[in-house]
Amino acid sequence: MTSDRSPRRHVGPLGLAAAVPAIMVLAGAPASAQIDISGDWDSQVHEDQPHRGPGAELGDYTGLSINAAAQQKATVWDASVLSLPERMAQPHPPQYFMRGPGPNMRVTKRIHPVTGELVAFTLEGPFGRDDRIIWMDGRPHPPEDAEHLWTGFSTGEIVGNQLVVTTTHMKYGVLQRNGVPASYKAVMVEHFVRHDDLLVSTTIIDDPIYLEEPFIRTQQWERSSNVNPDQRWIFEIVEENPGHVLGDVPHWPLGVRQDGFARSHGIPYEATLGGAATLYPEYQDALERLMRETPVPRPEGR
Amino acid sequence: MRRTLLKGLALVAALSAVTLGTAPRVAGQQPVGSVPLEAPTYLNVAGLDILPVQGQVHMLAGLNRNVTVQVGWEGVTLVDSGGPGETDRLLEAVAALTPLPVRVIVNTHADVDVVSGNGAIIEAAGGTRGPRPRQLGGTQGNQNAGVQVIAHENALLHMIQGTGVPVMSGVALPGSVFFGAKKEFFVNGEAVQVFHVPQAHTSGDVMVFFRSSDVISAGDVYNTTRYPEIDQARGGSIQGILDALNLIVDLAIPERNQMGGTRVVPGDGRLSNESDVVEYRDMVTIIRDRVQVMVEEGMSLADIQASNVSLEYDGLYGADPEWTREMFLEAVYRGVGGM
Repeated sequence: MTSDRSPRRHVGPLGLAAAVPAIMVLAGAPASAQIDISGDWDSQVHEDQPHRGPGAELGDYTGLSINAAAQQKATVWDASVLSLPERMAQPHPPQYFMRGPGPNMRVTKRIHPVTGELVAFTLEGPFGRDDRIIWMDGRPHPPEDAEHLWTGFSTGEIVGNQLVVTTTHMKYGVLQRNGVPASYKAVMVEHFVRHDDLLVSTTIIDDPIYLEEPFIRTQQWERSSNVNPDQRWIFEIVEENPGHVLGDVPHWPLGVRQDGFARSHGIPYEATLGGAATLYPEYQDALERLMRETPVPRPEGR
Repeated sequence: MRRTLLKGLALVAALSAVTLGTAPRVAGQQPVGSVPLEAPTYLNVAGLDILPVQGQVHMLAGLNRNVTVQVGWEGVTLVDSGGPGETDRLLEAVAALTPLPVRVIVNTHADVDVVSGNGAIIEAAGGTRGPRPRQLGGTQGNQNAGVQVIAHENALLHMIQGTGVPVMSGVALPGSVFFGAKKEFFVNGEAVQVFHVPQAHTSGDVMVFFRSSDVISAGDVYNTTRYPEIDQARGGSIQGILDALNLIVDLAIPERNQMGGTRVVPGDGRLSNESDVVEYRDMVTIIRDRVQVMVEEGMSLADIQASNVSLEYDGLYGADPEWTREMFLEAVYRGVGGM
């Protein structure tokens, strides 16, 4: 079952790789085009900061092209699940780790000792230190039934002034830290562009399970000599809930209405649920109609 | 004689080196700066992907179900023997890993795609191993040669009675059965535990834990491609599935931050570690809890099947035409007391 609010529009990795040339033209500077992303990079978390430091509020699915299945998965998600011993040490998944707090990162070139050719970039710093390897030697992605990793499996190629990275074999993850899911069937394509000492990545996630259309967002870093990747290499698993019984899985009941975000910001509940239709300018009309039909009390002071 | 033995061991060592040299290393569990730069070679033999798991264990993907292969100096241990007509391809893939014969088969339960290769594989290896009643095909031959087949007693009964599988007889039947909680043996320098997981997919399911390799072969209590198949007519139950999944979670230890560590070979689908099983366990638990509430509220099976009770998981697990969402929900419904 999928949402019928809009036709599903999914494209393959190659389609994704070609999907945003206009953005790249704006982001890149041909006169000083650079394609070497190695170095230490300081994350610039000014874009969507509340979603990245504190984390998105419960029930805030705005700006996400998610379908009804993802909405249900997110709505019943209970943060207490992260206190389970088998979950409390999870790193951030690829669908999110370039977005969420930071990461400050160290990118290193792995050079073949004989040929001197670039074999891979390594990228250290994602939360939980599921450090990445971006293979640049043209190797194939693993077979379908190979293990899916918290890093995913990434290959890169230089296209013009971009490093285009395609990632498959990801774990079941999230798009943001309030339970919005990302499936292991997703394919992620990232376009890295350097503009002198600024690095921009445009991430495009195509998920046939949870998205109505590919989801796109951007991140920025500034080159720095004073950055260290996250030092928390190992998260210790501790007893948070005395009496916890193996097999208990916290979750909200079906039909729960996570409307705290809508009420606290004076937004119609329906408008907080995301979906492809809500991403386009035409949704302004629908939003105005919702505001007329079901006025939401404005929070005090707003 | 001694020279022949040494030559044999040298050949095994050489083949092992070749295998290890082509084995893909799993990234993400070690400092990325130390990951070897060589591109792995993914072996595909007879249309089967041979995926190195870790230690002595490989996973064969491409048959109707996954087959787990442990390879060592004594020979080959197989977890499940494939479906009808698949034996030649299976043995061809195994031969790409070692010239040594199959020594042990563990049947995780009695389904057609699990046990159909027993007879042909035993025949190819020259017969059964160990003492064996004459009525089960026993001979007076060398008891140390041939194949030992291990299963739970209930699975043997399903095979003899033809419950869920065509009636089986003779050497194809497991000659080493047990009725307790577990069976243990030692092969290829490795301790192996076979756990009975009662009333799960059937009443005769087992999981196989290769302790040194740190790999669990889960049988059909864990699949990544569909909802858990519950054969209530043969003693399966939703609670048994959950107990089995929680046993995997209990046994498995990730290497660091839920990465790597104990690997789990599913009955069908992709190679996993604890995190993947936890997601699956959570899914089964959540759907069970929802159906339980719906039953307590008096909803009928048809009402539950028509509801959005499993909406967020149907895209991942509900597409198998042989084990549909509706069949799974009915099994859960019956399992929580729905009439």
